[in-house]
Amino acid sequence: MNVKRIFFAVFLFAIVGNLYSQKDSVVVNLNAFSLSISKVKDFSKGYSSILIADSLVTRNIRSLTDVLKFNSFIYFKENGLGMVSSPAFRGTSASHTAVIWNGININSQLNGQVDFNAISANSYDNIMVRSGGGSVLFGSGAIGGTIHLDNLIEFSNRENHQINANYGSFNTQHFSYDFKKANNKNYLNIGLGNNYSDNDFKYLNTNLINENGEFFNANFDVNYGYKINKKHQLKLYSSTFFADRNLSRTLNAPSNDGYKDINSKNLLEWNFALSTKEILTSRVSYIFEKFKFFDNNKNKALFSDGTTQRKIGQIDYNNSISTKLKINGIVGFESVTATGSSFDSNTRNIFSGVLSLNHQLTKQLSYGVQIRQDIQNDFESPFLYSLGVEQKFNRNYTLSFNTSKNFRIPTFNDLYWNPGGNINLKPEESVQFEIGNAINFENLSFQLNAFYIKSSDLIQWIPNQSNIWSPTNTDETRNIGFEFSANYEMSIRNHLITFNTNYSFTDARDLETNQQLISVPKNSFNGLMNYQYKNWSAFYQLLYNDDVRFLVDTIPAFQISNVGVAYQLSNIKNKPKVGFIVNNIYNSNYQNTLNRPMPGINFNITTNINF
Amino acid sequence: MNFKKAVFLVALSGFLFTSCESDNEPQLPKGDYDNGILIANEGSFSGGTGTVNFISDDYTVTEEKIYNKVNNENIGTVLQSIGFYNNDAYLIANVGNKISLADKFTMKKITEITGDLNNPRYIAFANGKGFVTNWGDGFDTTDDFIAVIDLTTNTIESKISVAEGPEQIIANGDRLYVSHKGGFGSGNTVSEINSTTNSLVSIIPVGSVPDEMAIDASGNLLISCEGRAETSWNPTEVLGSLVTVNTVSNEVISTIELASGFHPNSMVLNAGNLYLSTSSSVFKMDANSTTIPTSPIINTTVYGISVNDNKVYITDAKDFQNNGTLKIFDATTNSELKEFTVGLIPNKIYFN
Repeated sequence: MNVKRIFFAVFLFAIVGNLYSQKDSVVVNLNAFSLSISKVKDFSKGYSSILIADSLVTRNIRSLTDVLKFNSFIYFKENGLGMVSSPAFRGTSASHTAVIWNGININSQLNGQVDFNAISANSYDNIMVRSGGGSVLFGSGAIGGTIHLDNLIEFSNRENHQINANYGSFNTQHFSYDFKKANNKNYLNIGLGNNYSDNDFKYLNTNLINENGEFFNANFDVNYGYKINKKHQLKLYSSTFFADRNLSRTLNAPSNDGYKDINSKNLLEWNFALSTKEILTSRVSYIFEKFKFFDNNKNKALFSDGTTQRKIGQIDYNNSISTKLKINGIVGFESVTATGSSFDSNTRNIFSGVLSLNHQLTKQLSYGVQIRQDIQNDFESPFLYSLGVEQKFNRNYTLSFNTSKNFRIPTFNDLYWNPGGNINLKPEESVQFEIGNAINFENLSFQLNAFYIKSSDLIQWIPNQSNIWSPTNTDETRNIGFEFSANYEMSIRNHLITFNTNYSFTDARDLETNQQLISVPKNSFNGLMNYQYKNWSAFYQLLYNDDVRFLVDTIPAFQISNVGVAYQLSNIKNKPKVGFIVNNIYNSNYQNTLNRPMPGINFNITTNINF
Repeated sequence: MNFKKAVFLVALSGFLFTSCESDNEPQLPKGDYDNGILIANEGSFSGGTGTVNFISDDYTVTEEKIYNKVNNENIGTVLQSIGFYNNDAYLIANVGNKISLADKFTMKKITEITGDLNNPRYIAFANGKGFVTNWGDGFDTTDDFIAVIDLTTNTIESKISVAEGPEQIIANGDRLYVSHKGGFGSGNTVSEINSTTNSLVSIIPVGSVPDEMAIDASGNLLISCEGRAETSWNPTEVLGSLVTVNTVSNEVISTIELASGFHPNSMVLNAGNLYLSTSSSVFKMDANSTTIPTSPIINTTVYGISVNDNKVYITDAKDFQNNGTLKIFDATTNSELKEFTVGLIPNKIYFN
């Protein structure tokens, strides 16, 4: 049945391909080819994404949470500064937000989420945030949106070094070094970084401080590319991250918990230009994750742990048949093994097939179609699809539409947790629609997207008959809302001013209780103003989140603002840049997660050298 | 899943009732929360706080979060149980590692006990001292203990090391019995503590996963043992049982095995009747009977249960994300009299 559908789709594509293959020719530039970025750029018709500028990352280099919460539509549930930080889009949950590292979905196989304080912030060349479902291209959990962390391997001459060293309140330290050297044959990038903080800030309006909040992490990255000849190139991506954290107290309970995790992501890619239009990319990837949880961090001999190992193989065929028509087919295999103190060792094998088509029908109208079918040993995977259409009305206005069916497969915890795991779970399914409006002028752009997401068979853990917490496919939710962003850039002589704002409205309901879902703000807003004059630059950013329901309590709405100034010492060798940032300048008392206060006003000194 | 109240325990330990029965004149309420029911809500495990609801005996007054409101502070994360000594209520926050001491009629805070608690569960009183069961660290099977509280200073004066997972604790004269439900594992013993010397006197092997305890009319110790249900993680069922221990010889007098599939979460001894409950049913038997009933008297979701004055009180934690309810049943007709919405994860029920 499923296999039939795939064959049918292949057949369909073949016809479409033939119809349009006689169109004008195109030459793919293998030198700057990035498979993962092309997925977001070329095969995401009708979807909008935000590119996070390098300068924003450099400024907030300690944590991706800080970068994204001020510059995208993502809402973060932070268990206090530096603690577990889970992203959510459009009223969905953290396990409905997929994180894609160089094209590989890296959401945890154990809990389905990515902790944004357990991945490096300073390891990527390109960070993109794509709103809307993307399970066809990005796999399980790509329901609310996806976050793309990419490294670019390009064969063009360069050599540069970048050093960042920051110091701030609560003895918070960051150091990172990034080295890149490339010519027309080789590319090498090595990155190192580490963060440390005592993180013992005061809880405003109480006598408590953030006890047991210390954290340390370090990353080591190597990205290497070798161009064998005009037709063949090899790329190796490797990123290793280690974190040792204590898990801080709450307003209502002390803590002496500790948590250590290490993850290593490795990807070997071979690009083979079959012709001037066709690229065949073969990828093998090995991803290792291990955590240890300490109930008492003074006694490291006792812990619970979990390890997952993933082996992924993919063959990706890309054909730019013409400037107007692109097709892409992927077959993939993934084998995941998980072992841990709370569940028996288990292995999951997944085969997947994806077909994508991108077609410029007329000068104004274009569309993209994608389908996916997974086959796996644990359960039946739904047939997934995505359709996106873009109509350019004039130079300034583009209307887009997309619809997709997405899924999240049960995690190893859901299936095998002892006690409670439920091997009879089905994948969660989600169907969505979106209408987007893009208005672009020379210095000014607006984007307004309205979405509808209906998800069913959501997995929820509740006590079963034997009073053991166990997951079942019970919940059904419906999220509607819109996202609005406006960007403005103005330059007069040496003055450069930019404004970026994002506003989202989300009405997300449990269809049984008709209540707003927990941890979903109805209104959320962020804004950034950047000003640059000669060697000086300054910024002001703010974030507003509406109150959110958390079980029977409400986390109050909050607004926080940061302000910073930086100066480039152009007289000194290598022109170092020094900056000073005041976070939470109005000393607002706020929480993202109930009873886990965030710091009041605090300071950070930044230094950055490029040579 | 944690369990059950200890009203019978308070009644039998004698302290409370001596203070209440001191005169026969009509009594004025001793505080806003006299003459009513207290419901202890565990609250959210993740950063939340326990709360207490009050419902007056005539059902006309209901109030939530009474401790939190009176004192403008929180009890702490997961209100596991409340123990009563004279007019004092000892509110035990399990994850909060804190015991808040308040007047039980006004809820006004007196003091708090924090140091030297680690996963505290239940408290019992003997010899002018409080004895609190503590699980210790999650992965440490050897650090479990009983914290001994000097009730004049309300400080912890010593710790008694015991086997893993000390759960309920009950006083019988100057002796205390501790059921080792097992904490993060599963136990099968009851410890006897000498309250004068603060020492472990004996370890009594009982059924699997012993939990609730009561002293019956003959002075014997009754223990309900949950056993272990058959699940995919536990392929071999271990039957539940009712164990009776002679408190003089500390020997098991009788063990009644329960039917397959019957794993009691709670046991209440009240007015000569023994109530056993699972997560969906309540069974009732004569305390002297050796036959376990096969059909329940009440079918409803049970999280916590208590019996008082010929009424059966049952809490329902619903989906553990929204406020739960308290249902009150007539213990003779078994019909439902009333249902109240209470707090998040309502568990124990106490009577003022």
